[in-house]
Amino acid sequence: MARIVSVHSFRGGTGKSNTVANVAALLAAGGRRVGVVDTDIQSPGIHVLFGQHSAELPKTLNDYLWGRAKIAEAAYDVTPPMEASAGRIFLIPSSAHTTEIARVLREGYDSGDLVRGLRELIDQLALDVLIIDTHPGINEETLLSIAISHTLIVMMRPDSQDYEGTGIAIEVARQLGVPNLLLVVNKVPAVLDRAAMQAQVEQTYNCPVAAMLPHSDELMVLGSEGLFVLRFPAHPMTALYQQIADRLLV
Amino acid sequence: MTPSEIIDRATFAGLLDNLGGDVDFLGELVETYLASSPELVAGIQQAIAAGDAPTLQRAAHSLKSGSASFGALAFAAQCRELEEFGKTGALAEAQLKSAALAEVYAQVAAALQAELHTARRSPA
Amino acid sequence: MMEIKGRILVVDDYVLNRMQLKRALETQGHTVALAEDGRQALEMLNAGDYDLVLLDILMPEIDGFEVLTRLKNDPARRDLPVIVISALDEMENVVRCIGMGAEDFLPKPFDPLLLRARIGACLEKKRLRDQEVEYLQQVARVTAAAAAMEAGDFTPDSLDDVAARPDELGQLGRVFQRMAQEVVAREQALKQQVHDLRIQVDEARKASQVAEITESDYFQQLQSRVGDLRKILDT
Ligand SMILES: Nc1ncnc2c1ncn2[C@@H]1O[C@H](COP(=O)(O)OP(=O)(O)OP(=O)(O)O)[C@@H](O)[C@H]1O
Ligand SMILES: [Mg+2]
Repeated sequence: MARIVSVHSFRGGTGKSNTVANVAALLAAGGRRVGVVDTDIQSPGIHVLFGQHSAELPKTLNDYLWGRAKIAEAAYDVTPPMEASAGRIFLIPSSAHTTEIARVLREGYDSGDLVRGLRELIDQLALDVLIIDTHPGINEETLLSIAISHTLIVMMRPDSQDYEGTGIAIEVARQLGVPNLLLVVNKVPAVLDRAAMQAQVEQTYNCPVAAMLPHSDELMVLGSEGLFVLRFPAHPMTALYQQIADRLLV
Repeated sequence: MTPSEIIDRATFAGLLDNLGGDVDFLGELVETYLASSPELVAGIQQAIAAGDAPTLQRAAHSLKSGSASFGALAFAAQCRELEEFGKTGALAEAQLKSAALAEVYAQVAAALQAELHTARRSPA
Repeated sequence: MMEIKGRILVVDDYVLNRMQLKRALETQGHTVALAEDGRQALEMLNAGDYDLVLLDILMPEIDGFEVLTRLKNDPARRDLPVIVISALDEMENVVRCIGMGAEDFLPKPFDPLLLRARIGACLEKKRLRDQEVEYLQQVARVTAAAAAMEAGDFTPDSLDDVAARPDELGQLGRVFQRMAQEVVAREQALKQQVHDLRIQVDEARKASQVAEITESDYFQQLQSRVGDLRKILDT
């Protein structure tokens, strides 16, 4: 069965989208068929990292949910040019526009519909992994994503403002019985002792850390221009993204 | 030789000129010359007697240079020849050339004192 | 242009030459030290700092050739300029000295105008060379400081004298030093932070926030349905 992975963080800007896109690229390079659900089509999100404009993505997962489109119409093959790999990446934009949310609440949302939609997607595209790039913070939509995930990655920065929210997300995920919980610490300043910090994070949250990602000027400069792991295959940062990718398949 | 033949007036005047007309310093120079030269003259003769050509060369060289600066040109020329003999090790020729050296030096010393005396008297 | 004044060592075994040179050089504003032979000259050169040497050739024991050879073989003194004192009838010695690295020669008897011209040119040349050497050394210092920054062992005051220069290199030194100091300060603050880094979580507040979520209708409903939802995906 396809592995469902949610990537979440308490606050915005922790590096979720970059992590999802790069991990997806590494999985595809390893021959996997990967679906990426982008929950924020409005603001420049993950689709930009795959070189897509939102105007070129007319149908979203929501269109499928409301019966306005077939599921296949809301999935876009965004596989970047890669040598000798059977892997593919499909981007499934999902509108989290406030009017859509309001409509969900008003008309009574059947979480079963969404899940059945995802299942259909997995089957039709023969996905090995489905990664959901969630919104920051806990709301009904992120709770649902977390609940149906085999693996939840909570991303945090080494910053006191992230500590409590990270703890809440992990606790909530535990109560929902998510089988694999992982932490990723991102934007770690180069001067910090990453090993010591990892030990402390693991101890505080009683949860394994999949990777300690350093703050990287190259990544920041690359911005949304492309996928870091494809641009810098030999960079130590790419090895760390690979480390995360490897944790998702087990 | 008269004093004016022993000391070239133009050179002597040029030296005083180079000293900015400072007759007192010229006096110091003359005194130093008079104090150090007898030793050089003796040194030349001893070096010849001892067969020490390098010392002959150096002593003659110094005496030449000091004498020339005051305008004792003939004496300087004699020293120069001695210097050359020292350089080539021609000690027999040096012996001949140095025979009357002390006497010639005594004339130079007297003439120099006379020149200095004149210089001290004439207004700067 | 202002004439450069230097510290000059006069080496001559003949007292009359020493007197005349000392007087002429001091009249021109230089500081003069006297050595009576090659040995004394070498001792004084080891002990003191000079801008120029006026060197007689013919001296007992250690002569001018030997002094010159030793100076030119000493990396610390190789660039110290030497002017050879020589009578015009000793030109072959002068030629030999120039070949050994002497800068120029000064004919005897001494002519104050010629003396001034040769000494002035020599000191000016030395000053330009010193400036160039100092400049290159200070550029090397900035480069070394950049490397030290990378390696993390930069000492912030190591560029004080470069930064004191009035020229562009000084500007670079000042900017670099300020940047470096800021970086060092920031890194120290960060290190301190890590040192103090205790991932503090207010457990009571967290528990109440978790409770707020888990006690919501939506969460309760989700929790009761999660088994069914997973079945949709896993079977
Ligand atoms: N390790 C890193 N080093 C430096 N910059 C980083 C790193 N990771 C991410 N960034 C930068 O941080 C910004 C936010 O990254 P990203 O969009 O991936 O975060 P996000 O969690 O998806 O944000 P949002 O919550 O807004 O969706 C981007 O500009 C990205 O280039
Ligand atoms: Mg994002």
